[in-house]
Amino acid sequence: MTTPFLLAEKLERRVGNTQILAGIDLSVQKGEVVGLIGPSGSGKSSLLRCIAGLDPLTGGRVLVEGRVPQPGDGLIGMVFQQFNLWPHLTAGENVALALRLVRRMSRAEAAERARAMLDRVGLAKFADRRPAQLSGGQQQRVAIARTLAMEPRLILFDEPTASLDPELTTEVLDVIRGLAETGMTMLVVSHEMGFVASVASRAVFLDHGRVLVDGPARAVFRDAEEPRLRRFLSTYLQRVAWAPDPEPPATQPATTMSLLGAAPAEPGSFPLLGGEAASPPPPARFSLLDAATNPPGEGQPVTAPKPGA
Amino acid sequence: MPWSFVEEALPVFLRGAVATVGVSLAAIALGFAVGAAIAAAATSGLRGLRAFAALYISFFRGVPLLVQLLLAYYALPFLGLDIPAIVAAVGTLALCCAAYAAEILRGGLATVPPGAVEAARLLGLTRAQTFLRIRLPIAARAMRQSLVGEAIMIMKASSLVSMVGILELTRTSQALAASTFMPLQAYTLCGIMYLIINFVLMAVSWERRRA
Repeated sequence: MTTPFLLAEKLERRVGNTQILAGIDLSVQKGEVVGLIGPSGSGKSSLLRCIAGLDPLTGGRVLVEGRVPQPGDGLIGMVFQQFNLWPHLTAGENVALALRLVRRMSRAEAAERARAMLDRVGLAKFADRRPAQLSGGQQQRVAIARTLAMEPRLILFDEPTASLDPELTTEVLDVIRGLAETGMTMLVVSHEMGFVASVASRAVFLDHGRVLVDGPARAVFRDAEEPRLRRFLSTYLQRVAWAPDPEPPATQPATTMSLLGAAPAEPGSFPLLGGEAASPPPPARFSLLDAATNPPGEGQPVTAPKPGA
Repeated sequence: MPWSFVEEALPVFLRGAVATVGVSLAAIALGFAVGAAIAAAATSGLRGLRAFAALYISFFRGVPLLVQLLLAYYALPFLGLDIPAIVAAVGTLALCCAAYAAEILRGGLATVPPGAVEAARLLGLTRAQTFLRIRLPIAARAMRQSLVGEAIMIMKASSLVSMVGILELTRTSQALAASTFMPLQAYTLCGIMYLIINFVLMAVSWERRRA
């Protein structure tokens, strides 16, 4: 195995008495697209911010291509949930500013490159608009263009679609998907499970600042065995009206279950109680979240789910 | 109002107005500059500087400007600081203006979303570039109205420097009212002059239509 492109060792971050990251090890190869999933407060965004150098670590270290990244050294680009565009500049100027100030391009050169970048995210016509005159999805695409223009080696997406409605989400996800196809190395924090499942080559499930599951995206979503992950994924399915059979209450704690005695596992129910539950975890329970049955960009319900198949 | 009075008094008034505008603009320019320094001190990492800024701001906002003026003009000489009246006048106005400007500046910079600064940092902008290209322009939109308001306040407060013998608009009209026994006309004209001056300032704060 070659030296990883991104290496995070024993990352720890603690604020006061709160442990936000509790020893996270992560290594990412060049060209990998890693989806980071997990409940709110599990440390996904903090992990990204620590890797980017925006939040200080209280332990561990991050190496990108063997170097300790510093904010602004051009190694890492980041796309934020709130876009973080500069409101006093037009879309074109947002993209061009760093090219001029950091890359020392001439005004004309930077403007030309900005236009090319905006064209890449389908916004060439909007270069002269200010962020306030753009939709959320367009703003996020400008933010992506701004990041791309600096040619980072690694791009971190921090819930890029969390403040967008479903339609606008699609246009942003399509841009990210296209980027993944170019071989860009990316870490994506997202609650769009279907998107993560279809675009990420690898999925990492975090909870309470720890990595609980780390594996190929397909395996993580299809054959989720880790109980916490199963519970987490099932809440997503429950929220989808057209989901297959309703799942058992996601929040039901395991203890009450054991008080009732190990309920006879219905076909297809979760082994909430762990290994001793009778039937092996049925494969493909999460067919909705599986790339094979949920092709990119569709967001269509799986019309005929085959229970347990 | 008898036009003969206006005709006769106008040149004198204009001279007074020039003095008012000169004193005020000098005080505003100086005050905004000192205010920037005070705002920097107020947000600095050094506790001593922050304490100084807090003390400075509470003194100049808490003591009436007239009292500050009288202190500078009458009390400082006792301490061995014999300064000309015009310096005391402009200096006091400027220092008072600085206290308010510092608060406006600090408040304006606080409205800049942290994310805008983080984005700049990750893209490689230096701290100075981030301040000049990102934080200040975003803050300026929030501060423009308040800063123009402060400038207008100083322009009007400059009437107080007549108390320490500066021959500006207010002092001129007082003298004219006393010598001509026409206080109504003198003070009306005086008010109109202030209004015209401040009208120009207010025009600065009007929203410009974006192209």
